[in-house]
Amino acid sequence: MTQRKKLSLVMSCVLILVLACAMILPFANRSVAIAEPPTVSDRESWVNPYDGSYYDNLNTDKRGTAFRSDLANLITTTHKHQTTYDELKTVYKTSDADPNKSGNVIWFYTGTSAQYTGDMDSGNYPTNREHVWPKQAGAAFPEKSQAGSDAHHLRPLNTQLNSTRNNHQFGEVAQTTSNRVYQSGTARNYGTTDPDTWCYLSGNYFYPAKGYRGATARILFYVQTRWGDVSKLSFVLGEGYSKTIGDIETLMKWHLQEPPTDQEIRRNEVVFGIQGNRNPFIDHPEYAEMIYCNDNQSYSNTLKNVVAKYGSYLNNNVPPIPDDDPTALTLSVSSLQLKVGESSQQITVTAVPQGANNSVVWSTTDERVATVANGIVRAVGTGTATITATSTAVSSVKATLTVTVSAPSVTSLAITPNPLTLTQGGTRQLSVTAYPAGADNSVSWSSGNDNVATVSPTGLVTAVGEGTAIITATSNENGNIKATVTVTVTSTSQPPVVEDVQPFIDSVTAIESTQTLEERYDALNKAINLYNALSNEGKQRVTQQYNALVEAVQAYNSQVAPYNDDLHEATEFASQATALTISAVLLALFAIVTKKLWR
Amino acid sequence: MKKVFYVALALVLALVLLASCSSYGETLNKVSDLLKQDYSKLTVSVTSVRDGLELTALFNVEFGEKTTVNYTVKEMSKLNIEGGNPDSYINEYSGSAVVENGKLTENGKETDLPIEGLNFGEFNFSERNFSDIEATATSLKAKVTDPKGFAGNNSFVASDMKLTALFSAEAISELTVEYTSQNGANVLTVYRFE
Repeated sequence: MTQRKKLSLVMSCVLILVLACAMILPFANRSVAIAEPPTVSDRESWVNPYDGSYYDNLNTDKRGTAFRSDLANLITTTHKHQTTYDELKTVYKTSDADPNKSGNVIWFYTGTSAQYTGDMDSGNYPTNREHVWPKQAGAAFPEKSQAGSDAHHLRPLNTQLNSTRNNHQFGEVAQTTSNRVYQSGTARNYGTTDPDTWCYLSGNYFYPAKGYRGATARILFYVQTRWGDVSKLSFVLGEGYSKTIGDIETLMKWHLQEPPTDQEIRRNEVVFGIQGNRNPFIDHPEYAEMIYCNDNQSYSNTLKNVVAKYGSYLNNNVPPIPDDDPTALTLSVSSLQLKVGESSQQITVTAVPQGANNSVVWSTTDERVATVANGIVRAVGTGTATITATSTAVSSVKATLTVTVSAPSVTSLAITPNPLTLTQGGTRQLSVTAYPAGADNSVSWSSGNDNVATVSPTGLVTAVGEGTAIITATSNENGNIKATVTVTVTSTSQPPVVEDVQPFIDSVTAIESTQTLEERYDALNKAINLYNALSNEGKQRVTQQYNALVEAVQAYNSQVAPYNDDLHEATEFASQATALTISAVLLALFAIVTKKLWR
Repeated sequence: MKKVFYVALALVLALVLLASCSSYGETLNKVSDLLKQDYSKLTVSVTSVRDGLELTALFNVEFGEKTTVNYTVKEMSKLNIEGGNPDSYINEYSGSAVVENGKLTENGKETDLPIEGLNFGEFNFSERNFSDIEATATSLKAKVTDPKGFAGNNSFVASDMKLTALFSAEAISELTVEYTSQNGANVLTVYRFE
């Protein structure tokens, strides 16, 4: 064989092997159907279909830990075959098969039907094994054995959603756009157009789609009962971590609101055939309340209230009360009288019937009069506005209150011009400003020395004789609020007073008393505006205060510059994502921010 | 006998190829390559939080013959002694710009900023810049041990930098980088590609 032929043979072999290697690489799985969550029966129409003998020897008169112990013993001793983590790949083909589409499995939490070959984490829409009770990297229980490979526990799920759900606890969060979980990081959600079919995530809580909330609870009840003694697993109110999980109050509510679905029942049968044990909370939903309402834990009484509200599965499935949609709302006040600048106490919302969802969105008919946030009304300007609380559950259910905003109480007065110099016989009209803005400025005028100057009821000062006199303005609303002006009467003409510079001087003085950056900014801005409104003569009279203002402005700008520098640096860093195909745009983006941020 | 030797040699070569394919380096290279692809839309969100004050810059980019950038920025207002200052100490403004033929036009006016003269590096996904790498077929999480090396900028100072990328075989969907700046600000940068 020639050297060329030998080399050719080697290269051919390499090529064949590399091609073979490439063929086993995962291909994109594009067969993903729109999610079709299971129909959630209402409790009145739901009928328990289980009529087997698996539970015949249980003493169902027991409650709490005693009953849990018996149940744990049953589902442990009958757990003849413990599936391996790897074996689940095959189990899912039957346990989670989509009955309407051959070759597909149904992802948990979303109901999405996705083509499934048995490979994990491959393709565009890959599937992997979700530990509904987070394994917490093996801290909660072994990652790939015991609870970590139990087919009743681990469910097929989109790889990315599995990562997104991470170790989050279960709870209800606001169904807002920002909380919605999107598919593969895109704007596509997992469900249909019904917001109930979407998953949401906020803080430490994950909120599965409708149809998977009750199922989630029943899986966790199973895990706690089957593996709780082995791995010390328990429930908590609110957030749990690792060996504890919550929120049990919400989980019990979901369990009561969403009876076992056809998917769960079908799956329970398949896994029963493989493992030999069953998820008893699917066959007998009443077992959950029999155990967890009576096991003398910190949550037990709370769960009794939940069962009372949403209906017990015991006693032949007594129908629960209807859903918690309110039929009406009432507010803690029907009207408010506020002064500008004042805020109300928190207004509480009561939903009818008792216990119904009282979550509302607040709105106002006139933000120039009053604003509202979180049930607290803030008076902005004089007038009348209607505040409306609209139920988030039923948008047609509303409650309103009327807020009447009047001028604020006067806290101080200022007289202009001040000081005042007049020549004998001269007159000058005084004006008075009440603070805060909009407050009643009606006053009574008086002179401390009528031999020097008199003042009319309207504030007209007449210079009578040489000397000084104190003119006082007393608020008609509050006799304790006064302002004075010193009037100097001369016999010869004095330069006229140009204008009142006192408000500017006061505004500069007020800067020192500010605490926060926001207060300081507002005080400085006010002083700047007052200064710029002065005439040239006025500005010459306040040189000292102006210099102080300039110094304060420079200090403020130096203080806030690092905050903008942080954003500057972060944006510059962000523009470096790539310098190739989209470089022009990212550079432009940087230019825009540069221009705006560091002007 | 010689044939057997050559076939064995070929097998060894193939195994070496396979081994090199399975390292984290391949995933890092993939993310780096996917970032260089063309996308129709890009959203970049930059958030800086210090002392409880949150400043943001959000850019929505639509690529095409004319690339449009809609932006919203929240920054600390600086005061001008001559007046005309924003009403609030945190000022939010937004606008729209078009990039065409390398030139930036904002609100109908072509900017005089030297866009074409600006030059930055690109993120460096070399494995030596990372630790604690967790990679799947569709995700990458890692700590960035050398922010200067990753940013390609020796003057860039950051600590506790973490990177997360979500992607498919064809495209990257989301890239998140968070870190603490030298001033102590917590910075979060999120890119969403479509």
